Amino acid sequence: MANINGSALFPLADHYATPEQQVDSGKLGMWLFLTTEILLFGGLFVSYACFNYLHMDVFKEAHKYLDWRLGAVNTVVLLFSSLTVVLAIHAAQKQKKYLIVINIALTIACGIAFMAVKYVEYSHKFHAGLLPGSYFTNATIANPDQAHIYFGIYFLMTGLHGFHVLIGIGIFVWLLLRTIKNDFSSQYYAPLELGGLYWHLVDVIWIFLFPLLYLIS
Amino acid sequence: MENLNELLKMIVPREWLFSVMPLPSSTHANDLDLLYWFLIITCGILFLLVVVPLFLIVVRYRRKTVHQRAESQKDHNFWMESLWTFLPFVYLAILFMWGFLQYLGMYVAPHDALELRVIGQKWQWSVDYPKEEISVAGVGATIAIPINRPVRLVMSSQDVIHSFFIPNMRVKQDVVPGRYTTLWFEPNQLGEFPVLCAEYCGDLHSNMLAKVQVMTDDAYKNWVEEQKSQNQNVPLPELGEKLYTKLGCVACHSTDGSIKLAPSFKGIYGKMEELTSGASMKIDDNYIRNKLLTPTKHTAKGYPQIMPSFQGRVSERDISGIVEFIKSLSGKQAIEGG
Amino acid sequence: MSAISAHAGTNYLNEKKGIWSWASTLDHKRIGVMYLFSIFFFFLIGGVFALLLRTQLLSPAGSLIDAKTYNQLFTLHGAVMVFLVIVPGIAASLGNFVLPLQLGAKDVAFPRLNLMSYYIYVTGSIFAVCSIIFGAIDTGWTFYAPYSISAQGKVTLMLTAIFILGFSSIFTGLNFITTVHKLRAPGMTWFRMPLFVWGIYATSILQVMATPVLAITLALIVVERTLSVGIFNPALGGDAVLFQHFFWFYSHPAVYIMILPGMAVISELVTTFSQKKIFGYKMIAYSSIAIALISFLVWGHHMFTSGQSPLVNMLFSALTFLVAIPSGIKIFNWLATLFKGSISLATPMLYCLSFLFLFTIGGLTGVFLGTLSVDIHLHDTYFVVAHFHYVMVGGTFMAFIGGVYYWWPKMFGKMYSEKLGILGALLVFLGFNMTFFVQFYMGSQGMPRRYYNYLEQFQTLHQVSTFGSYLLGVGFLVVLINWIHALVKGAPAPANPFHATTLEWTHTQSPPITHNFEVQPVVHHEPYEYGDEPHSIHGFQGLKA
Repeated sequence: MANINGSALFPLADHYATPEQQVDSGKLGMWLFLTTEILLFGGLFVSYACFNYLHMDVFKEAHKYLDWRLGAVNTVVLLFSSLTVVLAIHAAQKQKKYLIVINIALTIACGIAFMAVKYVEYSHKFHAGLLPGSYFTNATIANPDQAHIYFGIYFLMTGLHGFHVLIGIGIFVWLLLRTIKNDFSSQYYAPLELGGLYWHLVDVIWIFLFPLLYLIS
Repeated sequence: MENLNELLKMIVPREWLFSVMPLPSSTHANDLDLLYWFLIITCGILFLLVVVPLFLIVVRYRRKTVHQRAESQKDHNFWMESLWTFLPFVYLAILFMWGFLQYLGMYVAPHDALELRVIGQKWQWSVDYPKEEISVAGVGATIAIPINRPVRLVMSSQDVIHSFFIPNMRVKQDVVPGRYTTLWFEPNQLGEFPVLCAEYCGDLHSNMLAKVQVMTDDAYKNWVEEQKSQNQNVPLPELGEKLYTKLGCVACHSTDGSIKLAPSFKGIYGKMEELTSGASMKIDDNYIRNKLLTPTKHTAKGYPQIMPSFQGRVSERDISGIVEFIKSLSGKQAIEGG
Repeated sequence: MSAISAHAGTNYLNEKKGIWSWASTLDHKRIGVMYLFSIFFFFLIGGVFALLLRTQLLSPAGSLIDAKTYNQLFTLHGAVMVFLVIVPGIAASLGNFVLPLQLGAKDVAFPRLNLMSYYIYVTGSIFAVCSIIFGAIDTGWTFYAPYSISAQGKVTLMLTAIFILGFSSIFTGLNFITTVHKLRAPGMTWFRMPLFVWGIYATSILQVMATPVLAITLALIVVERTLSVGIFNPALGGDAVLFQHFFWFYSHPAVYIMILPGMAVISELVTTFSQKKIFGYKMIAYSSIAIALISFLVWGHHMFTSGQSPLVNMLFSALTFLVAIPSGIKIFNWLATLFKGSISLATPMLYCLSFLFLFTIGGLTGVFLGTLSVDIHLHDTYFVVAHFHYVMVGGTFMAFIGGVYYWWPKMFGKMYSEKLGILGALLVFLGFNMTFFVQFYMGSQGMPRRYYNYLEQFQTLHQVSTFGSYLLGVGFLVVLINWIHALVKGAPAPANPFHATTLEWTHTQSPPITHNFEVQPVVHHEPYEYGDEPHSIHGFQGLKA
């Protein structure tokens, strides 16, 4: 009965009446999920705001120990990956499989590049002892008494964000495999759209993190 | 409000008035009990307004036969619904204003209040009398205060959050590590009243008790003398003076008004100080505390930020001592100036 | 209609058999039933903790257990009851079962996610049980910093459990919101939805919006304990009160996550058992949404004594009074619904009337606590404990039991015993009032909460409270026996034993078939049309013959 309305190419779940209903539900669900993600990061943004207000001098001083050029590189990388996601969806609409594959592969590559840059940044901080809380051992920084809080918040925010990037990479690997298996068509590419929405959110959060952490003035 | 108070005393027998809440023993308590009784009576009426009709309706419209139909299917009445939206609003607005104004009165302490410093730690209260230069501490410690005189407590915690609660005085205030909180009250009953910890603080939370002993002025003076003669603890200002040299404050801060690398302590307490950030702040307990623990936060204009942090090196009592010491260097000037 | 008779005998319970068919089910009804049993299992555990606590308080010095054990027990009682019982409570069990049926849908929007939510709940509860077994915590269910940062016990494990449970809650809420938006039957406009759906919808909004903040807050405590970041730890330059802001930003809306589904059940019970159209449908629907939205702005009333500025206290006090108004509106609307109805005193209705009585007390004592100066005295005393239990047990839990009784015939196709039902309801009502009413008085007298021993003057009152709790325990046992008895020996239930008007009663059998409806229901009228003729519109009545 379900397939009366749905085309053969569209895997319609049997509790939905029409493909539109299924796709719309998926999108609404994803938007709600993104809302919860924003609120999850919201807690950290509020902590950031509180401590930035309480220890403004410390934050100004400590942020100099981040390399804003690496942050900027990562911003560009993520922005570019958002573009490739959009292109992948566009290719799906046009039913051009090789373009979908190329664009998803580029997105994954960008994700990995982002994490690689993060790895460089993190290892520098580990060597310099710029670590959260009681692990903070850096002696060169002026006013070290509260600097550990800045690095605590830095690691929490970028760590949680990096974790989301890793999950995003996983999602796109899965989407790549499904594309290769010819699961998607111009009729049905909802998972691509949903994965794309998630990736855009990860991107947007970074766009807030970058100036807050790297460009304090 | 006095009239209302009298009226209430006529409606509610006196022994009742004092039986629901513990014996009122401060000026707060008298005001607060009036509001409390207003709440009990009005909420009681509201409760009856719901429950009596509920009971009558259930009795009157109970289904007697299996096929009995509802007498009416009326499902709205604009005026009724507006009424029970609007009237609660008015009632709650009154309560809000009353409660808030009373709270403000409980918040702002009179200037002539006797000031005590309270430190909470697992699981005892210690109280310092800076002026009298005595201190009491320990489980079940007796905190003596004179009757009919406002008392202001400046409190901080050594470890976790506690809450200083005297039911008879109707005051309660959380005692938080890392900051000062205050409360005040004016006792108007002689006697001994329990002090409890109201914020869960671990194993012996329910044993963290002390008592407030409200005395006549003469008895209080005698008590102070008695304590002085037997008190082994160093009084706060003296402790502060010792730390002033021990911690090295003396290198940058003078006590005679001369300028070294930092502002002199003389007369600084209570002053508005201009900061490097352009803002200005009053030098008070919290300012001194922050300066000791997180010196980079604020720096006085015209001075370099060279002060180290004393985080972890000073105890709560030490901080209180330093504050009292700085205060003692300003006491005279403040009075002459004002 | 003949198609329905052809399937007689097949339903969602017996179509597939075996444990695996349950463990792998995507059917919202089976998932709802699994939630129901899990939640009542943890309710029993939490209840045993409570009885131990009350027994300890029989004498002022208390000799049953030591202080440490007492502190662990009240922590576990709170954590289990809040995070494993009442927060999932009605929404996850009854909501899962009833919501799609009332909407005329075949399932929730994301059945796989729904099953996953259940398994997340199970995983979280396993973590919680492990933390209880391997090192019970004594932080209080509120986990106040800095105490929770330095406390002994498996605090991290318990925090992880609650973190996981939070995601179960988020996904359930997300699922319900999408279901309500996208899967309503043809003709089911927003204002033709039953009020139960409105209540669950409002709850879901809260779950989705508030729970992530709890998740990150608890995660921060875990980070504090492992890395000493210093955000909540004053010894490292952090702020202890910031934790309370974060915590209550979730946990106050959470109170409404708990009570809104209760109100949702009551709206159904009131109209069905008086056979009268609900009074002020739109007011009740809007008030649910109003409560959901305002509840985000009142968290600070838990912190009137924390040392926040008087201006902030004033704001939160005003907003707190504001959130009381929609609750009041509901009470009066329910009363007006009963007026001139045909009131049946069946067991579900007894719980509904208990709710109206107890929730009124709970709500009015909330007014005491919203009044700034009075709260200063009552804060953190037994008054708050009593208020909280009047709202959560007297409100939510009465509605929960009433709702389970009400939907029991639909869930299992069996009728419960009315006699046992009435006995249980009376015992629960009496036991509850005996346990908690005296606590208002103790609180006024200044008895602080979380005390394992106390001043002698309170002994009589504590004893009354303890014996009340035993009575309450017996009452709950009677309820449990009645349900088990109904499962084993209950008479077969007709499709619509209470002559209700919503789709789950009028358009499908008891218990429903796996796909809920033989024919897609089409809705032509508002949810509570009882008509002029006796049961004239209950089309399904004819099917019994």
